[in-house]
Amino acid sequence: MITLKIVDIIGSKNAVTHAFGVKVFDAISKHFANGEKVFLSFQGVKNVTSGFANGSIGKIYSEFKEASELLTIGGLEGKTVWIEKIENAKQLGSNPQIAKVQNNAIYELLQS
Amino acid sequence: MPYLIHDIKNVAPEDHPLYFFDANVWIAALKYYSGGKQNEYESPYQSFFEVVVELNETHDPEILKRLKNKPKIVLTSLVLSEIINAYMRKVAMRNYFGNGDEYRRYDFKRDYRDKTDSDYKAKLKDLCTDIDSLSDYAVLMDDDFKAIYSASTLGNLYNYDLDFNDFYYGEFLKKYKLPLVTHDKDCKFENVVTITAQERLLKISDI
Repeated sequence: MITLKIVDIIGSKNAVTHAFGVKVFDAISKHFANGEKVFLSFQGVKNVTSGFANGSIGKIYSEFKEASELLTIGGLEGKTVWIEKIENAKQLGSNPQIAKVQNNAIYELLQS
Repeated sequence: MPYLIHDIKNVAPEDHPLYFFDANVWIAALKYYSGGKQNEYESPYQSFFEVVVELNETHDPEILKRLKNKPKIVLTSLVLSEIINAYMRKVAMRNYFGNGDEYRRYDFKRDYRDKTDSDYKAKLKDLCTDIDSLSDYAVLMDDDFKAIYSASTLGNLYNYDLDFNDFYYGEFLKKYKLPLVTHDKDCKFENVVTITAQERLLKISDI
């Protein structure tokens, strides 16, 4: 199993943008493509947003059916808010229809 | 007085030290789930917002030498109130009751906020912790009501095609010379640098 630290991938303690999340997705997916399991560590991270969780873990769950078997997440001790964001991201990634409903609402809000 | 409206495609986020994002842009930046795909409307705002954040995470000395600004995001109580209200009423509640206009049949307080088995508290917590996570990049400013009220006078509101909040933002942005990032076609503010992808605003630009 390969260990990836989020702070090393994004070069910051603040995991707060969708784009940072996509960097983490890219790093994980390279190993998944080789059939390798990944341990993703949140150690050293100071802040996490749902945008980051969606761009990283949500996208992994969206694009890899075997995500739950290949990906282990750690460094979340006592971080209940982050755990909730990660669970939401998994749900969004696994259910494109939920993401579509949310995006439609945001689209209409922006156009209003 | 001129309309200083810029196409968001032509503005580098490092050009200004501070930005004022309207509530809908905040929501699009924080909550739009692209799954990595680009979208015509949300994408320019989401990208702009994210680059503003990421410029603050630049530590390479060579890049720092060339960087004009490490911009921050201005947050006021009025815009924070709008972000929370718009998101909870127009996005979270709508998601809870299903897509489309179904949610309009329900009462926000009775059927969503106060209903113990709804996801109201979870969604509010998620939104507020997202905003809180951006505190390293935010500058909190007072809404300066006394000064702005006396400068503009509420009696002028009827002369504009604006709701009160937008009117207030216009006066606030003029006073502090802050650039606005918005997609709201109503935000026609003279002498306010406005950054947008909104065609109706770009059409009246004097730049």
